[in-house]
Amino acid sequence: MEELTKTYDKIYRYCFYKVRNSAAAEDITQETFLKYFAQNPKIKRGEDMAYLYTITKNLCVDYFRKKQTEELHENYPAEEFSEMSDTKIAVRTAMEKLDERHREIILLRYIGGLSVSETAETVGISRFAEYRLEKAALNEMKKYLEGALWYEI
Amino acid sequence: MELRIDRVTKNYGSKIACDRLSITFGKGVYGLLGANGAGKTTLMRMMCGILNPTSGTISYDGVDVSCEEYRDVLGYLPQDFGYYPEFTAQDFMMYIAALKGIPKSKAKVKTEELLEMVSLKNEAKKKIKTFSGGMKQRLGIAQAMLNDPKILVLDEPTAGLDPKERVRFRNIISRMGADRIILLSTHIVSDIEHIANTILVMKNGQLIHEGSLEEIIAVIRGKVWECTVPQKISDELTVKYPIINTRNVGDEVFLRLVCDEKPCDDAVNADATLEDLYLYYFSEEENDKS
Amino acid sequence: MRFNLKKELREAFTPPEPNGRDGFLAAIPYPKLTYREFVLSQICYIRKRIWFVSLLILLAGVGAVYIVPDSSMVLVWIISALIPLLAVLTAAEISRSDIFGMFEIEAVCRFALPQVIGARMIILGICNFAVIAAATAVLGIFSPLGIAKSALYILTPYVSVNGISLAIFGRVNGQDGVYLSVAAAFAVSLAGVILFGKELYDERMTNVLMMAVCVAGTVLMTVQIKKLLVGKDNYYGIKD
Repeated sequence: MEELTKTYDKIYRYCFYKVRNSAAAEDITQETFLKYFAQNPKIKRGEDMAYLYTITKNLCVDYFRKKQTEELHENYPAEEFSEMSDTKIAVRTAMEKLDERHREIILLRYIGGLSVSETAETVGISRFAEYRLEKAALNEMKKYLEGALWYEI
Repeated sequence: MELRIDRVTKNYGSKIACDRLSITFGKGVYGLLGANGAGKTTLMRMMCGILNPTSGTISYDGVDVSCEEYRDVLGYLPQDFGYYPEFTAQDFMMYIAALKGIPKSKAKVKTEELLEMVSLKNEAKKKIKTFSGGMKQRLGIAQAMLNDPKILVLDEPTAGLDPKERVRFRNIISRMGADRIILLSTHIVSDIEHIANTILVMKNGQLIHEGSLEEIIAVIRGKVWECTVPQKISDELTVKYPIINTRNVGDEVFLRLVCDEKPCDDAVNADATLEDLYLYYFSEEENDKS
Repeated sequence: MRFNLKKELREAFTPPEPNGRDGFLAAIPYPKLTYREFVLSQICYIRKRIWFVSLLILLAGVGAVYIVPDSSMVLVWIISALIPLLAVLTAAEISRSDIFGMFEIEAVCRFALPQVIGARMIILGICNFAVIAAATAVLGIFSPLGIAKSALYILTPYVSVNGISLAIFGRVNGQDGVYLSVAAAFAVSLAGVILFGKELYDERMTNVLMMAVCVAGTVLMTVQIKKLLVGKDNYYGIKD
């Protein structure tokens, strides 16, 4: 698959997690690209992921400001729940239980699909700090999931 | 969208190929008309950054011709071009696409689309070696369009095309001229008469006319005459006036010529065409050559 | 069942398929290849004969060592005969645009002619360097020449033939240039053989002479490469 398509999907996933609406997520994704290319008319190198995500994050913030909706970290739309596996529900709950900082890192790293250094750059911390936070976040989630699912993780 | 040629001169030693040319191009199709050696190819090569002007500048929206950004929006069909002998039409397109910086997946889609446009889809996997002149020319046109250029420079694009291919080519160009700058050179007047919004006439490295077909023809409107006269009068007229066309009709000679006033009693005024203008300017040179 | 948190995370938050993606991406100005990606894309356009000859040199070296007993002389002969061939093919590959009249189309692309030729030089340079290094090592170890002399015996024909061929391709158009440079390569090989025979009589003279040729060849090659990478009007040699 083409590099750009992959990037599009990554950003779209991230946006969807943030705004919980596929149409809005796609709008933000496309706007991200347009902004990015408008600011880099020469496009000498490949995509600068950290920069792309910074644009996306700002656009998401704008989106919420416009909507004047408070903190949207409620669960995914309820009608989906009936078809969802226990694991899925548990993972989502685990995600919500994380604090803001940890959640952002897991979001960028595993849902957005960024590398360690790209995540670190987007959040604005060192690679080492990213690594430490990521590990802590994963451990916290595992701990919760062990309790919830009785899995040996 | 503006391509600006500003006081461009090109010398080859003491020979002046282009003499202080200034042209500003906006969206549309431009036809560059001139005899061989008028400086058309030199001008086009300079517009593509292949030759450096001796003096003057060429830029597109402020970007100089020598920049990568300029080349990024440029498509060019040279008068004559070679190809690597092992290439198929598709290889050729994919190779040029890579040079134009187009990623492979995008290049594949674009290649297919363009080969279809120039009706070479079924020949995509055939070696270029086996192509006829017209087919090779169509391939050349397709490669120029790979990067969806904003500036398209075509040097004698209709050379080698058969009448059917010519019509098809004209349609493609008219369609594409809506949102880009297209410049095509030719010495076949009928090729540009109907598709060029603006016609440029070059002679001895200088731009002698620039304007729409109507404006260009206005120069000789009412000055084109036709008459059928005896050989003796014909000889006199031939010396005095520029002759556009001549043929024998029985004992007499039919003449089409350019003259400010009625050249002889039985001369009739004829509708001026671009062909007349062209021959008016270039007949001497063409005759010299042959 | 082993629980894979990372995989589960990805699956738990899979959004519905985006529906405007392909149309959108087709319409926006897409990012072009970087020069690095471009160079990599050019590898498949290098003609197979280059890889073939490179492989042949390596195989000949290995084969001579393992198959022919007391192979030192055979080795020197085989390798010194194949190196000029590699040099000519490399020069022809670098000068391809000129030989086949592709330069006018290549010159106006985003990656202009010097960059295209540069890409070929990078690929061929790495490949040739590997072959020369390997051949030098084999010769140095398995023949009585020693490493320093082996390097001289391999580099001298390589740089001189490559330099001469590039100079010929820059001046003579089309297939004629190919014949001429093959002839030049042959001449250099022949000169080498004669010189090599002479060595028995006067080794020091031979070495000094070879070093001189090697330096001259390197200078010629560098000048030609610079011309290819910098030249504009003068390189294209276009007359109107």
